[in-house]
Amino acid sequence: MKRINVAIAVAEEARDRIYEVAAVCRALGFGHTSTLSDIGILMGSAEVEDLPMLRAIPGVIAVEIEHALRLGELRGRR
Amino acid sequence: MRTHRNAPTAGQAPPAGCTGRSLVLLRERASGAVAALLRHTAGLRVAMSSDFDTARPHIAPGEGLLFERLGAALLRGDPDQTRALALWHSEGAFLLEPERFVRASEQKGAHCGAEPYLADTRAATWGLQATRVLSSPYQGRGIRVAVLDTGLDLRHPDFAGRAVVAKSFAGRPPVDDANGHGTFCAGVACGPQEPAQAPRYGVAPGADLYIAKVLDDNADGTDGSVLAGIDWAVRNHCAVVSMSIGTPVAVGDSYPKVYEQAAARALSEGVVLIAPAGNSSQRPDSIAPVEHPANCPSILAVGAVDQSFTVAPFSNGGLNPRGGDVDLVAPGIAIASASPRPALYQTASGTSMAAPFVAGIAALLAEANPDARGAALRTLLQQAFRPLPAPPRDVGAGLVQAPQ
Repeated sequence: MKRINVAIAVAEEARDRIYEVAAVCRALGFGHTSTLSDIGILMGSAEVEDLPMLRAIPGVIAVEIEHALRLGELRGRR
Repeated sequence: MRTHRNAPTAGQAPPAGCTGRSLVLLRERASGAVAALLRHTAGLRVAMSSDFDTARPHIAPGEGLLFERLGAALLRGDPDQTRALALWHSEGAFLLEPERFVRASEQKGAHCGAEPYLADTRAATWGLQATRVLSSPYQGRGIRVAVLDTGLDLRHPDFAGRAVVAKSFAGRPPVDDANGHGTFCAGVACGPQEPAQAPRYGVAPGADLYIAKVLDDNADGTDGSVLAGIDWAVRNHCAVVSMSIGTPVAVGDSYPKVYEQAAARALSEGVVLIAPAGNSSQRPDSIAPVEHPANCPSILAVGAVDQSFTVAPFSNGGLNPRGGDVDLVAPGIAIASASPRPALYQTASGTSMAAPFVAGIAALLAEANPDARGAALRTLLQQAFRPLPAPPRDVGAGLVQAPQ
């Protein structure tokens, strides 16, 4: 089973209990690494097959797989 | 009184490459008021394009056609009418330019005197000239600007003595930039008034600089490090976040909900996020959609133009609905800015270079409007533009302009 890095967005109305939401996520297998409380995001990892379960948690509005990012490409740099 | 030395001159033969007709670009989209002005001041008979089924109705002498949705009009005035319009042009009521012949195979056509081909001078880069930064009385004083990128060369002489708050989210510290992209972007947004050995290249020299290293020196990073950088910027009450990063998306893709949530929350906390539209296009053959995360509705997407205000061939377009549009364009070709030592300076092109122009101008607007933060500042920014004769898909509202 593949474990992937994910970001979980917590709903605005659940923002004041983001740590409770995080605890429920952890209980369902979420490997919680950090809480970005000012923007309501939980970072961590999860098994791919657990994603639907995490998305169904009250207060969670989105669970998305982390992307790799790159620079806006430099062209003609010297 | 503002003058525009390239306004059409009454009574002269049109310059090579121009049709002899005039284009009026409205400063605001108050089409009705401008139509009335054209009728009463110049005596032109002005029709609305929406009243015609045909795409190219004939325009007789003394007539004009108003494109309401574009905020532009095409006029065929006699010398007296053109002279009257040139007066209003010089008063700044609208921009008046000669209509050009265009050819699909020639993206960078003749300039025909309509737009200057701006160049760097000994005083300042062409980008600062194009965005009217040099005549702005504002410098971003007291405004916190966060640059999320590959860090900053903290010992660069142009940033010596500058208060810089820095934090690394890209694995191991330090925040020092061995890549160059972050130093470049920080330079465009917040470079000094008088660089050590170069023309001025920075928009907001008075801003407080917050550097979040979210990409490592190989320019690798993840959503996690970028989101952590946004969270840090919000916590530090930065008014503006410039993040010249992205990942291509496909036509039809939706925006990422996690980023949108982060950006919307940042806006509600008084923080405006700005990102590049992306560089995947190969105009005129192909146009790629605005990239992630600039495709979020709550993040301002910035495209790039060249020295004659033509859309850069690589600049992505607004192809996807719900946030996937281009909001503004800024200078993005042959941009000079800071480089890590020992080079000190470099020239580069890309929408990465354009986004920090908008971020710097956001800081100027924030200084000019102390009560405007978050969504209010974003609205001011979206109103601070010069219209361009190109589709909103490519240039959004137009070329960003500094407050005067």
